[in-house]
Amino acid sequence: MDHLQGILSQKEEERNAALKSLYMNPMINAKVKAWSKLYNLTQAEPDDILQEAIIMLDEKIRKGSFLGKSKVTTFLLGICHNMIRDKVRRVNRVILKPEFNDSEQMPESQFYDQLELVETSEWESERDRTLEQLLNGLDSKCREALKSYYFLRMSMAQIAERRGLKNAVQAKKAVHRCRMKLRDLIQSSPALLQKLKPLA
Amino acid sequence: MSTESSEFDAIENYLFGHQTDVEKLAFEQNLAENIALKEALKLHQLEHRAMELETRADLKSKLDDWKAQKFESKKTSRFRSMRYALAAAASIALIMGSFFILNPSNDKRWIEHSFEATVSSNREIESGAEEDLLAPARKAMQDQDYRRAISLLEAIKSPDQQDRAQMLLIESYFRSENYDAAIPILKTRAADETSHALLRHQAEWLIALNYLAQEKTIAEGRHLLSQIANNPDHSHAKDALKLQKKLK
Repeated sequence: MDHLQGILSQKEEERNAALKSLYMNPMINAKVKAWSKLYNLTQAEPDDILQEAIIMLDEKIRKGSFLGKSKVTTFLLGICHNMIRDKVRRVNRVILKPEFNDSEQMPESQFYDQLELVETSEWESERDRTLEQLLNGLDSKCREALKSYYFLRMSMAQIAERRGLKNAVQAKKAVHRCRMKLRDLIQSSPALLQKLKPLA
Repeated sequence: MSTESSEFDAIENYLFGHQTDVEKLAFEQNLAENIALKEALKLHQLEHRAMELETRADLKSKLDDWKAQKFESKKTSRFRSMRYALAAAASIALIMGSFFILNPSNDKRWIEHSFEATVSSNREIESGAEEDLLAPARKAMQDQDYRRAISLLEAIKSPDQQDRAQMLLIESYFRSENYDAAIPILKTRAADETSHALLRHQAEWLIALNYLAQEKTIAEGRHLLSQIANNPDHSHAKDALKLQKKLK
């Protein structure tokens, strides 16, 4: 199974194996370390950069922005390269622009320039902090169910199995209840509702 | 299906990109005119972001677990590398000892020393990662069975391991004095425009060392060494200058 299939797999062990294999990949680790050295980053940072890059890669893949025409390792290295370069410029950028041209023919160095990381706005950071606090209002089973269904694309049958529920119908009801709980939490937060406008 | 449920599904399909171009256009037109739909979309976006943050937090926690494993394996690997380095150093010392007796020039000592310094720094960078596929080849190298190491390394086709395997192959060729086999691989690496400059520079530097290590190509080696030493932007310029001073 290749990295792309692994990350998109509904089986958690396959997804973990793919992500872990990227994180432990000697070639990727060596390049990130070498680039960090080249750009004079401290020794502690390469691993943090790789972790953040893997999180971004995972989001991009799950959202379908990366079509897999180029290798996942090349894409990951592109994110790392841009992050290291941006850190030198002291810009805190963590979001990838989606309009890059994904092509298997493109040389690696040129591919890296197709990626651009953009800065998280103050509003986005604040929104995320508020949402993280709100998520604490959901029990762990609910958080797990929502994440599994909406982002890991698990079937209701799989969720039922994981949560020890009778069947897929029960799981569907549980997921819906959790979604409504999350909605209530968001709607009970005046600060967040007030900030709804900048999303437009 | 109720209107509420249908709106819920339409928004979800829009956010997950599950609509056709026509559906998307219709939805966006509706969005421009319908304030309630716009508000509902914002709410969905916040809910999605919350779930995304949960997924992020989950992955971050896994990465931290793997980090512990990575650095644990790095320690073990370093220990292995140290044993290997000691074994290699001992063998080099033996080779050098006989070499110095047989050869009035100490040049090769410095070439070997430069090579060892370069490949050791590679080991330092790359240790700690999974390298099960490379383990038998490493063992063969420890045992100085370079023929076996070469045959094992040449058989590695895994894209994840190929780069590291190639570096070990170059090292095995060098240590078994098969410089002519190492040079073409290094030339390919040096000419790879898609690769990072650091890696290309390292390949050029190793080509120079392979040239210098054999009598018949010593002139090319000196020429390349001089080019590297005179290029302040080259990552191995200082190493080349140092080696130039040591060589007669």
